[in-house]
Amino acid sequence: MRRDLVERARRGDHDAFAELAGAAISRLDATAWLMLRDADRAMDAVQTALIRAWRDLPALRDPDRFDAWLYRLVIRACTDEIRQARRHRFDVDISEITTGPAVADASSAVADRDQIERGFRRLDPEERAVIVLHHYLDLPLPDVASTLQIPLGTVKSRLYRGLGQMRAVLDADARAGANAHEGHPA
Amino acid sequence: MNPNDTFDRALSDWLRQDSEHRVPDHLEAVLVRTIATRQRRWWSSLRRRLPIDVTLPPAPLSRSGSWRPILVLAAVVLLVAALLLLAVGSRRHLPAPYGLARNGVVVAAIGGELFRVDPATGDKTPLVGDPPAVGVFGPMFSRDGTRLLYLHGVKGNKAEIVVANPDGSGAKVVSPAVDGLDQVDWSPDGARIVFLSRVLDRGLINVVSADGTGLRTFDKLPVPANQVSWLPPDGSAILFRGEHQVDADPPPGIYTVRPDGTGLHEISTRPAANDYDINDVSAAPDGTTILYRESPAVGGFAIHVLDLRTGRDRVLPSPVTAAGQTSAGFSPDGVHVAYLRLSFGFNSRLLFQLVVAPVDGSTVGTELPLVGVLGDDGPTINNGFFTPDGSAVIANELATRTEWLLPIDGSAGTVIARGTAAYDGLTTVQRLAP
Repeated sequence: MRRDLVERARRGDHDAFAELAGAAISRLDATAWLMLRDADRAMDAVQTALIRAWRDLPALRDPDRFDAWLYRLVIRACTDEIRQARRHRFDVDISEITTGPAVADASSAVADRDQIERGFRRLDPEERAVIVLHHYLDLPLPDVASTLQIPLGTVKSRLYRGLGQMRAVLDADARAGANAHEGHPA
Repeated sequence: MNPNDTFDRALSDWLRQDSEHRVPDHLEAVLVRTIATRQRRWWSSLRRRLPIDVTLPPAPLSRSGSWRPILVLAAVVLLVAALLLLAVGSRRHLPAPYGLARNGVVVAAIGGELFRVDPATGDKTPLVGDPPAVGVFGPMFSRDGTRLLYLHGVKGNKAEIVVANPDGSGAKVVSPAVDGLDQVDWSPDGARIVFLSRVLDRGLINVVSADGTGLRTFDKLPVPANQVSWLPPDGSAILFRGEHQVDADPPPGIYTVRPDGTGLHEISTRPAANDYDINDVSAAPDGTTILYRESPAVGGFAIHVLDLRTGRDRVLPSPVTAAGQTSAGFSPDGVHVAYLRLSFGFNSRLLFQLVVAPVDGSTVGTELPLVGVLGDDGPTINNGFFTPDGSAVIANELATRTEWLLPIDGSAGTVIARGTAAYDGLTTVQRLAP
């Protein structure tokens, strides 16, 4: 059925494309939000991706790869958004300023939402993309590699590096919390 | 459960909770924009296989007279000549990789099998088709005519390359099964094969030796590839069109890259006007000139002739009645080009006429008696190429599933193969030494 929809959309059936887009858009939006942390920019990225998808659909060779192709378009649109924003804005991470002392259980690495978010914000778009595809969309790492069109080893290294950076934030918070309790500067 | 598992689970939970209901509904806005967006027709990059070869059987030797002594003498001379040929290793005289050649065997793919076809009578002889080889297509002779490659479809819409002797014997799979395998080319010396694979529709160049060893995939190129071929004449470079598929890609252009994947070099000399521009790339037999199609923002398609030595870029002339010209390929001697000329027929129906014209632009050429229309997948005339001797063009007409042999003087053509399924009849012609 889904393949049939993709085939129809490839032949210019906009109703079929509307059905495909309607079924996919909530997850695409969520993916873009996680990547960009901004609702307006997430909408822009998803719209860009879906317009590209509609425009280039006749050239898609394998209808069964439609979902993976769509996620790739969204990830690329988000990456472009981030890079564009970085060219035009000062990169100020307000979490650095507003974060108070945290009490973290570093021994078990259990993190609260703010800590995870703070760590996630520090990641490069490439690392965010790998984490979103693997930990949010539950794609196996080979599928992540296929979706992003990068080698599996690169996926693994980006995941390792991204998670490592996030854990480093948690560890830093934990040390800051411990120091605060002991009266030392963080 | 170790701390890493705990962290991973906390991360996954956070990602799910954090992503919920963050973005307002905007599906309608998307659809308003998509319905106003023109879909990219796949034939905006008309794919045509490389001009290979076709051949008419040589005229039979005639013999007359009854002078027995002379005949005996001639027989002795022939016997000696034959022995001499054997003595030097019975090496066959092979054609040069480019230039005019003699037409040899014609092989066509019909209904998932390969047949040797007699172009004079249309008679078919099965060549490849017994299981497990059912589902073969895209035959292509090497430039010296000693090897035949074809594609074998496998499960999952993938295909692999098979190399065999011209009679179909000795078949060997020489590539992995890949997605999107529809562009293949022999190196000038026949030792290697370049082919395109696709990962999520992004074209990757692959080079493999004809014996199946040494596969190399150019997965580090910063541009998606399409329309791959070997740049004549020495095999030192591969020619391709760089595609612009996402914003991060460079604009469309014509590139060369060495067969080891290094030395990426853009050879197009003007910026692309849009994603469809600088398309349908094809090289002259001596490698000095490139044909490509211009897709201007306003106006019809135009065929450009780019001289790589001087950088001079000119447009092939077209009649004032034409709506555009596209999909050009060189004759084996580099003197002529064959292409499709667009015009509007009854009820403004778009028509595609096969044309042969001099590459020097001295005339608007000769229209061959084959006209196509715009079908579901693009023009119904597909895969036009010159015969090895340059005397005719072979083209596939999709609506009738017929493969035509059309003399370049514009006289009536003949059907050399009839297919049974879509895209059937695709043909290759063996090149023989002149």
